[in-house]
Amino acid sequence: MLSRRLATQSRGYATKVSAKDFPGKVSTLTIKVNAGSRYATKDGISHLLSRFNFQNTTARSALRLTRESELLGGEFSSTIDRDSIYLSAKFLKEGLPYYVNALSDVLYKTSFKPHEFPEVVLPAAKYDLSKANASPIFKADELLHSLSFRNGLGNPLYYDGVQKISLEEIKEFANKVYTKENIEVIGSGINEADLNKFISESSLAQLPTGSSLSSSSVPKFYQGAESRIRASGESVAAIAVPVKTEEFATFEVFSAYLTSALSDVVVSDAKLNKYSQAGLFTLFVKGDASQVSENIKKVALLLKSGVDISSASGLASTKLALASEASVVPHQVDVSKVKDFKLGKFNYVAIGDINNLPFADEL
Amino acid sequence: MLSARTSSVTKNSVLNFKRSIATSYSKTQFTSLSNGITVATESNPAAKSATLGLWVGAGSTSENPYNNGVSNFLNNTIVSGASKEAAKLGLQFGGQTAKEFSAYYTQGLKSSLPQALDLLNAKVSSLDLTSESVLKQRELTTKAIEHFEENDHAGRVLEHLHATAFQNTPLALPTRGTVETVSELIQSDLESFHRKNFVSSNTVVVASGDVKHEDVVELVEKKLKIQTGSAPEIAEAKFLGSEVRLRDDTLPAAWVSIAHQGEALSSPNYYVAKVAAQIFGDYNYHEPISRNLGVKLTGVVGENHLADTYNHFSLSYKSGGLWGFATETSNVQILDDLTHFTLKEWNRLSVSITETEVARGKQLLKNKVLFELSSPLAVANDIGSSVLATGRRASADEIFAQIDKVDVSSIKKWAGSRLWDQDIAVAGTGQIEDLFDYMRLRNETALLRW
Repeated sequence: MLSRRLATQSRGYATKVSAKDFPGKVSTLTIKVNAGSRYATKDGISHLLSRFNFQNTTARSALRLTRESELLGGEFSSTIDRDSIYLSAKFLKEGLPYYVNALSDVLYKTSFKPHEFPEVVLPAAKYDLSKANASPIFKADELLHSLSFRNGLGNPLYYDGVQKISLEEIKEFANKVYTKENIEVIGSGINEADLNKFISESSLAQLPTGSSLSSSSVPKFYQGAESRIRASGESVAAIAVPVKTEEFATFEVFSAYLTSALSDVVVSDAKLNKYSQAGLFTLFVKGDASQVSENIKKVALLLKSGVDISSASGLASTKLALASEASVVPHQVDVSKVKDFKLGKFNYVAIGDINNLPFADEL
Repeated sequence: MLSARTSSVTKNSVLNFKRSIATSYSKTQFTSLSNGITVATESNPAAKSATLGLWVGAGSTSENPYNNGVSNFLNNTIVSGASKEAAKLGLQFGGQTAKEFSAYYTQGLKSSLPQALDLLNAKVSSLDLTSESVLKQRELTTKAIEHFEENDHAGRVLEHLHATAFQNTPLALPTRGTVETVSELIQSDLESFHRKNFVSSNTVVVASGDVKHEDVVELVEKKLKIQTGSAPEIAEAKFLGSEVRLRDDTLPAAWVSIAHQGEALSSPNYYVAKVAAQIFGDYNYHEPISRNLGVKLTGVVGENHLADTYNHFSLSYKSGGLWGFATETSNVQILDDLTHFTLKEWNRLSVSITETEVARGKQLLKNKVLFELSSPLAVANDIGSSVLATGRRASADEIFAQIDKVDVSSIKKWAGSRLWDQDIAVAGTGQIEDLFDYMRLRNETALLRW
């Protein structure tokens, strides 16, 4: 009876809420906002907005938020990927009312104080970028996304200062993405009825209505592109293939095959990045330029000649099970029917000592 | 091959917010079999994968200065030898070496548990090494050690901290071994180490995630064959105040760690020391949240950029522990200020720590203990290492009750005997010209007045 009434309420505020309860003491609460870098109105604006989360709100200062949360022992985080901004809190179960309230206030009541932008948000954003750019694999990954999708999924993940962004623009973006229809609340270790009740009492219920930005069309794929960047440090050669959702299974198995002992080639990492409506398979070889050159040629030779990857489907299911345990929104992929793989057109990136790294047409 | 793969996978923390599924922390179930093997499991109804492994009480403390690194070398060899077969069965095979144990585990679906146990039996319990794979793994292992020594400065400082604090006792030996020792080891060294240490009373079979205790026990009884025998004696750890400096002005920063003698795993003050470390916690200059933390030390460190990062720890082992902090700073000219203000704050634990600070530390510790168990593998590792060290694993309720018992007076009493005017171990590398000499640091462990 009670739960039915609450369910009606949940439709009343048009925000998708889901929660699973487990025995135990810890809860995780995540608000997923369709506001990742693919939806950015200017390059890097999602990243800046994500860094504005948990700053001063009209309800409580950033200092008060930190100090209150410390007394409960919980942790906040705001992270981004290409699809979404994730505002998350991890806490002991009894902290649920506080954390629902605190997370909702971040969405509805952030003050966007002018001094916070240059003093807090920009330095933090710069730190994220410099940390990420220390890895040549990250640089290659960014470039491969850009080559494969150009706009949307090809937008840079982090703010790099190439396009200037003002505080006003961040506020506008926040108003656009923090709407009832554009967010989803996901709880784990939380009773769904309780969650609905606390949400209806929180400022999430007062969020303006808008429309979901979630992309419903398949983005355009670009293939056969190449890019090379000189850089000091370790060299990376990388290959990417944009993937339709119906091919996800093949590339999951293929990634499992390449990164396991089943294949004889040496790759530093191979994975399928799954986004809504599309994915990008990426493969990286990292190290000393001469070694990278040798290894990427072997990999390309193997892939172009076609490989039987059916032996890796069991391993792929294991990896998917492990990944779904750790991810906020698990993807379901059936890998049982995958047989073999042959590489067609691809995008290629070389970073580092590029005079000693092969060109795409030499692979 | 495998280590090259796993080590080069970069993880971007900003991209990876991990959901915690292992929130259940249900009871650990134990069965001791007649042949001396202990089976310990924790099932998690939310898990989709099953982790099964052997945790063996054979880490670097089971080694001597001449075969140092053998447990790590053996681990690498077994894991690389088993991973292809494991992959064919749909299993991920992994391993880990620590100071007091090494672990061998498979991750897969529940349905493949019997094959997983067959594999563990064939590859770990009854060793099957080829001279070719041993030679290849020796090369890869020494390369990995070299990479660690050249790149992981914080990790290296922590190893040297152990080496100086526990000098001439087993805890001093580096977990991975050194290039010099490992490159001298041969196949028979691995085999004799295995014979001596991989015995029934020194092994725990651990399963976690989507598993049932009875099923695992039945499988182990039927399939696992481990030679019976008792665990070899390991000498007690002894703390000695001392320092080691590896100054290298070509590095871009300074990495320093200072520690007092801490608490052993079985010590009644284990949680007192943990709470004391949590009161100061972790710090990252670049994270905005660091300016708002309720820790007095962060005020002076943040305002003057005394450190880029620091973390306080209370590390515990079977017969000893270390309590202190490790820091990295690019602001190397004021390293002396950093150590001064940090040690002065530690003094406060003995004389003027407040109710609020202790309450905050206790609450954060309770959360942290559970947050760390965020995957079936993390749970399995916790089960395996605690059962090997103490013969049991405390439930979440027990841990909470122990933490609740800590109060201002117990912190002051503990700090008064462990920290106040007590010897320290110091280790540092990078630009450490401004790291005070031992006696000046030692003198900071007490106040002349309060």
